[in-house]
Amino acid sequence: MTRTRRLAAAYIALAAAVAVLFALNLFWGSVSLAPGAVLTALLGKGGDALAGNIILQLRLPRAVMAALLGAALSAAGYLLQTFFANPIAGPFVMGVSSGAKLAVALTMVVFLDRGMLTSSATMIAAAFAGAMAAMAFVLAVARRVQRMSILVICGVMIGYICSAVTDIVVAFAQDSNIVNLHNWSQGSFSGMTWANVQAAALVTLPVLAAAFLLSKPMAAYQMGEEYARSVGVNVRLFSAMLVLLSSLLAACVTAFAGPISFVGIAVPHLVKQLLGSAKPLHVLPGCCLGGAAFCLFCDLLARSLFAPTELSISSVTAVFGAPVVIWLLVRRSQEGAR
Amino acid sequence: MKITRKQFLKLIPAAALTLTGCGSKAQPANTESLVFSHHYKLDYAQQFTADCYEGGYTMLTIAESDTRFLVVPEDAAEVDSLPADVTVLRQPVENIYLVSTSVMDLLLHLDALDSVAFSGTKAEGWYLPAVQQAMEEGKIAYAGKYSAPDYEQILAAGCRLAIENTMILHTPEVKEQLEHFGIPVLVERSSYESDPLARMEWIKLYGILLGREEQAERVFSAQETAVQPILSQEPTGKSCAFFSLTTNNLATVRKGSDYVARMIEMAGGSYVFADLTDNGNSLATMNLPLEDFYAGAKDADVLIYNSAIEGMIASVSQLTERFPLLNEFKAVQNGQVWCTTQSLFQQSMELADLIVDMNRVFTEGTPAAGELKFLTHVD
Amino acid sequence: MKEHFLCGAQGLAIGYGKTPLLSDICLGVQPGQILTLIGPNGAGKSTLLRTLAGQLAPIGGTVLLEGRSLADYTGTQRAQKLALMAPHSRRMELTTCFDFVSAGRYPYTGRLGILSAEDRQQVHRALELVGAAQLADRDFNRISDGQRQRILLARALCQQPEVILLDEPTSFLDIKGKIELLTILGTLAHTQKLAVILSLHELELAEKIADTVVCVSPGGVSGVLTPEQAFQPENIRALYGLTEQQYTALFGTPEPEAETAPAGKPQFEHYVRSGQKLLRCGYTTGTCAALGAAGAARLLLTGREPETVALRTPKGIVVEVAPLWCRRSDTGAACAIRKDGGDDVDVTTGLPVVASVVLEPDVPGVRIFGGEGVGRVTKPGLDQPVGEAAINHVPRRMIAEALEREAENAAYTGGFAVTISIEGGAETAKRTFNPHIGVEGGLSVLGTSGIVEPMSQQAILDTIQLEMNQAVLRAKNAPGPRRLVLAPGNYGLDYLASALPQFERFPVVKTSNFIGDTLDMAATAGFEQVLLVGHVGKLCKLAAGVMNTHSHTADGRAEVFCAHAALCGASREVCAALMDAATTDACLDILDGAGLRGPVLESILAAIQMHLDRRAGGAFRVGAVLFSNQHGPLGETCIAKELMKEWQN
Repeated sequence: MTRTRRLAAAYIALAAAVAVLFALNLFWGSVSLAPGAVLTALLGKGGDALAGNIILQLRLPRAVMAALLGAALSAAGYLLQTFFANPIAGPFVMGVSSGAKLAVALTMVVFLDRGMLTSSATMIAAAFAGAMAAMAFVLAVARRVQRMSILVICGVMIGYICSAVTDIVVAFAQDSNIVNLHNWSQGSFSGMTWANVQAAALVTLPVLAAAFLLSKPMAAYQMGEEYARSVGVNVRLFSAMLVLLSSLLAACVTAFAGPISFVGIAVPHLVKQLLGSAKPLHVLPGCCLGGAAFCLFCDLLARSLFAPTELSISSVTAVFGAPVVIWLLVRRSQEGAR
Repeated sequence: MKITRKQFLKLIPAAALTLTGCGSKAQPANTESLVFSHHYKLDYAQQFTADCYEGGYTMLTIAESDTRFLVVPEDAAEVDSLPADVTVLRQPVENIYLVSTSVMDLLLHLDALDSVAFSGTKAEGWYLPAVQQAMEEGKIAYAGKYSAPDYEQILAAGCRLAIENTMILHTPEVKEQLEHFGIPVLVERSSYESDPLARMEWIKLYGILLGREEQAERVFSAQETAVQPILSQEPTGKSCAFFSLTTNNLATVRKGSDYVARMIEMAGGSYVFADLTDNGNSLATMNLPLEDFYAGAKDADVLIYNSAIEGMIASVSQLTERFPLLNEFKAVQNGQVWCTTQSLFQQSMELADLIVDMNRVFTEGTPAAGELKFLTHVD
Repeated sequence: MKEHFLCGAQGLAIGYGKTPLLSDICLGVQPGQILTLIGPNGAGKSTLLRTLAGQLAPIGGTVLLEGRSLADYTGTQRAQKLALMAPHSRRMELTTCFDFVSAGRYPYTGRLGILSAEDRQQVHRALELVGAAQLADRDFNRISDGQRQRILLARALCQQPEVILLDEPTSFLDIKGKIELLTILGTLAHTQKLAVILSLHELELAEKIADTVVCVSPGGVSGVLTPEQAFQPENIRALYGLTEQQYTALFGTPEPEAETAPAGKPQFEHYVRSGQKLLRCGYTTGTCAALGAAGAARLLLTGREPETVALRTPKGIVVEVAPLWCRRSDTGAACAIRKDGGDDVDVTTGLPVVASVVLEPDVPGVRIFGGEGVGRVTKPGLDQPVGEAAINHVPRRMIAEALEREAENAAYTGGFAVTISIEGGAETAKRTFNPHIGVEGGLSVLGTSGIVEPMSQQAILDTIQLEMNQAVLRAKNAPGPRRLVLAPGNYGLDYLASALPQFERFPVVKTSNFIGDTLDMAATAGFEQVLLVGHVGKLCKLAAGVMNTHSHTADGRAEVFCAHAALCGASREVCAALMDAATTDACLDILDGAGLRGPVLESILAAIQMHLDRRAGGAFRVGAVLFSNQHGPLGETCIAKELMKEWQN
């Protein structure tokens, strides 16, 4: 089929997937509610307060958050893959999540030791700061390193350093802190409030829009930094923007939901295969939709597989995401050998 | 009473006769040198038994444990040919390495703090002033967590016994190492008692161990007495939820068979998650999704927040900020949100006071601040 | 040279960091011009290209585009005027060639880079210009290297630039790919009036396509040179630091060598077995001239340069070779064939024989002229009259036939004027006997059979021995005494066939120049009667006792005639004339003029007989028969007469 038809079909399929999964996330939960009750609650027609509260205060913001953060995460992954020209770049791999975890660990030790219950705002701010710091570190190394493969290794190493420092911090922490940190680092969409959604949307949506506006220079950049420069792209400014935007997205996700693995790496590749195009103009919206669908799917599984026990979202995304990465690398090496 | 070896040997045939003559209910140590006397009386505790032998010997058997402990009085003769699974603890048992925090309060109530030389918790982790002071004065030293004890320090001080809880079973190599160094390890299982009184009855085990049986019995009786009146009351009809929120926004609640749930029942209330059974692991608590917590606890009359993990909460808004749906909870709307003190789980010998506190909350609604020992009102 | 360049550099210093790699660079390119950068690796060609493209900031000086400094242009403005084509290394996924090329529209598309109809048109146009229109929908990863370079070029063209810079565009291509790409570039430059600057490693290609050349060496950058200046051997050697040996190994000396035709085209493969050896034959200059004429004519008549030209030589062997070059001239066309002597290397081997053909529609027939390098006949007695170009009649006939054949194929009814020249002929001729024999100013175009058979001494002797053995076998079967006919060469055999056909039934052995050796062999073989039939030009040397008649070994023809004429009482003038004569035919003419032919021939024949007898040493009876193509039969020695009478029976 022609390019436009294929794109249209793909977008429709993705949007449909998002819609279906969103609905499933609303209709299904560990407290079973009748579909009718769910609908009444959604339409705001009163009805059972229990159902209403569960739907409107718990499931709906959670689903919205999963979709929003899923979109943000896969977009961040795509931006990083473009910048580093490396297919396994992603926020997790680049150490952004580890930086956030370190910041959260430090915050917990500092605040909890004084017996204060850390408000969500503090944790979010800490995670954000940690993520940005880790990214800045990776970029500082990027200035000195030309080859992109080495850069990814640097990101991984920075991740390890952050983890090591976190472990040191934890050694001095009380058992309760350790439990807390462990819980946070599992990653979860549980307990997302409308306030959270508002804050996340405030960061995520403008950044996604800005990323979309960068599609044109991104397409040129995909062909090589030198080529981009030769057609008039201000490569310096563009790179800085790209990194800043992806850092903001990744930091935002980690701040609200903890470290979530593999969405950033796997979803862009799946979307590209589905769309049959690698152009940023097409892939970015696709990533948003695909990431939303992926996260909604994984959250549903995390909640439902062993209800009422919730699995951590990271483990579910890894189970689905890691095989994608393996398949991708195998295919690439086969093509390269040809 | 001192018995010489010669005299002891003369007693053997008599002991043998006595043994065959007795139709005892339990299985005392079947040795030639020990003469079973009687079972130590325990009313509630299920996880341990104590058998007394003539001459003041007591055999402590703890459930699910492959070691038994024979407490031997200071001057008593040595016992020959004990079965392999029996470890001898000759009194006085000193320089104890105490890892299980809930035991400390029991020892405190036995005035036996000086038997403890090492603690598995740092000074700042103790909410018991006497202990903190002792640690600061250097009478009790910090010898490392259960998973990583400072063997050198422990050995150098001539430790005679390590009292661990079941956490040690996650790191069996530590237990083996301690035993290899000749330090017996007693794995106490008071946390497996589902009745708070059973938990407190463990004081009797330590009484036996340290030769303060009467004191132990006295302290225990006092707690028992304190609770009796409440137990005889009618249920108050109030429902109660006991919970905390994790950092990833799940609700940690006690299982239905847990002793806290039992305490609520004893206090005259009903625990909202009483039918929450085992989910496959033996942990006392469970993480519930907020949906389930909301559905189960929204109509609870009283909410008690467990400060042990996350610290105390100063105001309800701290909770509702993280979990806005709390505003829909009946208890929140009625101002019936309480928070436990952080010392609660270390003051293991005063559970009766908690039951009393809870009972007062159930019956009086809002007792004045300062009158409750373990609960504080949260606005 | 104060030219107004479209894109150029003034006092430019380039490099990375603070210290310049190269400085004082002044160069530029005009629309429609191709400027080639040559130089060794690492000298800075890439750096220079990138600086000119605005990728790298100059350390000093300026890059000018249409008179303004390049730094004054915004990125988009610059991209609309100047395109850089550099090697592509990024892996592209899910990208068609169309997508790839459309990236070149970057300076013209809107905010989101969506292509308008105009943009699409430009993309298609660019693809067509590079001849890759059919690749539009193919995946970019699934095309060959040569195709990929064309796609890269198309992408650069999409920018609708006025200047295009290419960094080693042919580096990873095979020869066909290189030529294709450069051809496309050349066409683009000339038709679209693009200014092109490219760097090349392949010097021979650079020489062909460059309009101007700049040499980039670690020591500095030259100014704008013409290709002739740049490709001087000294310049190339200095630029690349080659030793003389290395240069020769790469490019060959100016001396002609037995070079083969351009890669892929057949060389003339015809071999003769000479004893143990297999020797490769060559073709004569006459054949070259005819082939050249055919090639030039074909270009004129069909408009296409022939890849190969072929003809059938008088000997019957087909020679097919590729011309050295074939191009139009102002008046007609010219075609060059390299003389290939096979394993017989003489002075003419390797020289290009050039045939320039002009169509003369009104004048039928073929007119042949001699050009530069072909000598002019100055003495009588040669194949051509005095004053004519030294192109012998067999070659002339071959040329005419070849042209007629081309005319027939093309249905052309007019005539041709052909000028044959030999490059370097004048110089080479100085080393031959030509001036002495009466050909001045160049070489002769000759060849009776069209084929040059290589003459290795031992090989020839072996051949003769072989023929001798065969002759013995034949003779054994025949009754009577063993009879043998000897002939030095083709002329002799021809004469034998025409004048003495009755003797062809006897075994015939070709002696070549080894008359003496052959006689020895005949003695050993046990022949009893030997008749030697040969051209006077060869056999007269026998009169002087010269038993090996190869011109390298000995000449002596003039001396023979002169001496015997003197013996017969010729005047001093006659003798002097005879000494100066170019050929024996000329001698005979002189003798005719003096009326002394008969006696002189008698004398010579007697001398021949004497020497023959001496050599035969009584082993057999031997006689000689002399003839000349011009004068016909000239006489026999006395024994020859006897033998011939006996043999009639």
